[in-house]
Amino acid sequence: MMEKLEMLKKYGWIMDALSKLPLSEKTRLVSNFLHAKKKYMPEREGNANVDYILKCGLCPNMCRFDCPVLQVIKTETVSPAVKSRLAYHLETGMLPPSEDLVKAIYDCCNCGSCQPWCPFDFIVGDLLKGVREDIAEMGKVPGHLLKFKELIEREHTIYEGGRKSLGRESGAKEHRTNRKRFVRASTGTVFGHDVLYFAGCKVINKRPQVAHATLKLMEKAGVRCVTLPEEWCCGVPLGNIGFKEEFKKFAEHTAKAIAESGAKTVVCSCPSCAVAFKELYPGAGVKVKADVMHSAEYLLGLVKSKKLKPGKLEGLFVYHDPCKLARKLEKADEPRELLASIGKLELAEPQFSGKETHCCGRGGSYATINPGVSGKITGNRLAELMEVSERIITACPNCELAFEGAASGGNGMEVSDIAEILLKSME
Amino acid sequence: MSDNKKTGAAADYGIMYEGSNLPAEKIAGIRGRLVSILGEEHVSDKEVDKIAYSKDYWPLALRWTLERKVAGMPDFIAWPENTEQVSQVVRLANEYGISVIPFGEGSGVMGSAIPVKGGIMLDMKRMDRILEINDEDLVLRVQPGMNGEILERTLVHKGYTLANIPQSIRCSTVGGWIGCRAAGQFSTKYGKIDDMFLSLEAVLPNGEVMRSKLTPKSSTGPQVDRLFLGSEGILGIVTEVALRIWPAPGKRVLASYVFDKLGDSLETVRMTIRTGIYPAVVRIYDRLETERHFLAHFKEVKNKIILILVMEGAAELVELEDKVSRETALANNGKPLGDGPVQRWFKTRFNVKEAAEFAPRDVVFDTIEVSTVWSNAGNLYNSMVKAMAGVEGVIIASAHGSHFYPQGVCFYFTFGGVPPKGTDGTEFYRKVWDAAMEACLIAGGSISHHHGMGIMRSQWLRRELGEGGFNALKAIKDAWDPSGILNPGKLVGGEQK
Repeated sequence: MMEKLEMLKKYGWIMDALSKLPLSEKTRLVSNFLHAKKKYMPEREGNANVDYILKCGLCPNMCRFDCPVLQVIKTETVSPAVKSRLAYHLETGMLPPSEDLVKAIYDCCNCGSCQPWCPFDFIVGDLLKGVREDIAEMGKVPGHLLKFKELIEREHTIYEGGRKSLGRESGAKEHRTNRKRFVRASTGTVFGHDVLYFAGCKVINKRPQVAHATLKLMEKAGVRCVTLPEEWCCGVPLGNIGFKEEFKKFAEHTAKAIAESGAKTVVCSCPSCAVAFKELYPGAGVKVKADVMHSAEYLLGLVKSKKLKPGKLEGLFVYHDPCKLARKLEKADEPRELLASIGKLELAEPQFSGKETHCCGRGGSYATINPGVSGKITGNRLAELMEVSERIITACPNCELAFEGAASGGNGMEVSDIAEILLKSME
Repeated sequence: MSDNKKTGAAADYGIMYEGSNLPAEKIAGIRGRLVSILGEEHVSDKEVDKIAYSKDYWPLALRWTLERKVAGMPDFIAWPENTEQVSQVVRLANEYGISVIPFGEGSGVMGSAIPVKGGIMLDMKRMDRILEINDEDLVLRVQPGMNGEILERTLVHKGYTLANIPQSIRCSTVGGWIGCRAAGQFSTKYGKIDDMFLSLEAVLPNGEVMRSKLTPKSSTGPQVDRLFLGSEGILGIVTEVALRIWPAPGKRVLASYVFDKLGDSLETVRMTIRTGIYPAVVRIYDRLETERHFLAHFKEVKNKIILILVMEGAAELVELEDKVSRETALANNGKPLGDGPVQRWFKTRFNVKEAAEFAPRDVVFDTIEVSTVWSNAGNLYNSMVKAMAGVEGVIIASAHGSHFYPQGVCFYFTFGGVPPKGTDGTEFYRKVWDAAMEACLIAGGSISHHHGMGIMRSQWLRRELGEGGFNALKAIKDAWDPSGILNPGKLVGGEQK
């Protein structure tokens, strides 16, 4: 009812015209306004928000110019509003979940580039998530993504045979609490565990140096910090590809582990993990009983409270805003403020930054969904960054891996996490 | 128009315009040839792609989307990456007698990009490169598949502007602008795309490539390449365009004024432009639209007419423009309202959400842009508002002046309403359009300023151009494209609804 009143309020300018109409027409208009939509909605309620999908599908595609997938694939079929239109046809039963249609629904890296341009403030990837959940319930998830889901369920990480804890080389060491074994950063500091550092699958397995830097910085600041003895994947990839029950299972596991750690604050290097704890877990009915912060924000706090004293680092760098950090967590200023605290470091801006940043290509598990296109998106973003500097700083292991992978051919580029840069300035 | 119910493996929809009806062996032959020209991955006959390309942004096609109807089903989608491939596809289409419909980003609102006889949708998006920005000549050479916003962002990044900023800039291409003679919000200073156009390369309907000479002006007979402006793909496929650009403006000043009378606001603009002053953006909203767009934020506009101005360019020039327009507004009973309303306009000018909000609520809504000379402006405005408001079921009929010239104005009308009992949405929509176009033609206005003709408006083209003009255009079409393969059903081929 509130929504309907809001709608009438929003279109108050029609009221003058409306008041001049005969009663029968007035009644019909108001009735249409409030009820007509029902006949265009599917009878069966699924996971998708079909009302929103329809709104998106009826838009002239005002966000299309900033869609990184469309810029590579260049077909209407994967343009944001057309994907929503196809999703609407699927949800209303006009089209079956054919392999081609399903593929189109998965061709989105959920980077949220669409949102700044959307009059409805939609993120198309978020709208499509419910559609993917419906596709999963129809048993039509593409085979390679089904295998990915099985891998995560089997390994509890996104890597086959992957590690789930930080070893000593990351600067962490074991720490026993009264309930479970945890791992803490190593110094002579007296430890409790006010802070839980959640590294994430990618940092643990592919970029342990990020964990090392973050933990080392916390040690220097005298922060009492622990890590989990066995860290499961946060579950985001499962949610991305449409498996909401499985996501919830992972959410419950990690939320419980966080609660048992007793930490008041969870610090994540991966923006996606932070978004999961702050937004997606509660959305799935799973509460995280701690403040959740991304490492850039947390480290800035340590600098501001003078627990950390940044040093100097010469050179011209470019900062790449990770999609989830800049748009979902709205932390575009904090990383820049942190970098500004480092002496002599010169920071240049790429053409597209902050909330208008461009995806590294790996958002929304897209490197698994469509690795070929994902790689080309990475190339496009790298070109934008390298127009400014070959020394890239970012704050997301996913972006770092994307850029590192693209640089394997040798293009003079170096990529660092913001924690690594801060530590380097102090050493 | 057919309504073939298609029932297959759970797919269930009607098709509004019949397909090519070519026999299966011919379709297979065309497919093989397309693949040999473009490669397997750049040709599709998948159902999901055909549906993706079945419509543009014509409001009737939106209505059909809700009603489980597809506007038109192409046989193929083809993605060329160079002029030679376009030429080969057009030659192939002639050989097999199959239509070719050029497609940019489908933001047209008249149905120009809808395949009415099936055929090959020639998606130009792979031809989307900036070929040259020439600083000395202030010339841009660009391919037709280039998105408008990406183009303008790139130019601004490099210190230039094309300044063609239609509301669709984020979802339209250079090729589409040429095809329908687009106009942007900054048109009073920078002109329409017609004014920005310098030369082009195009594939003619027989597959031959024509390339016009890049020159500021010439006197070498009729300018053949200008036939492509507004041709909506019926005369050829544009493969490259040269456009004039400007250095990015140094200064921008925003101003707004409110008036009690529409006539005073129009007179302000007429007299301002008459002095040789060209603000980049000039917009006048009638009473209803002033309240619709501004009342929630500026109570001073209650029951008023608002004029908003954006002046940009060299600082001294902008200051002069501001001074002259201010004096003219004050002399015509205008009251200054500062830059607030213009800031508001900047913030909301791309919020295209009415269709998505209203269509599923069975409220029929559309816009109609027409133009006329100053001496006829009041007559055209009054005639069209009266005609639209007179159609049973219409609740609002309003307009703003969106583009201004030394000789006249473009009015951009909006209508909205609910079909009366016993009338469906499509019928109601057509009735309002019939009334509006009839009123426009009687009042002596031009029936389109920048949206083009497409399926919807071509039925009035003969009356718009007159017998002689229409026959001349038809003769050119018939001579250039005797098989009628290029974008059928539009302009001279679109007399039927």
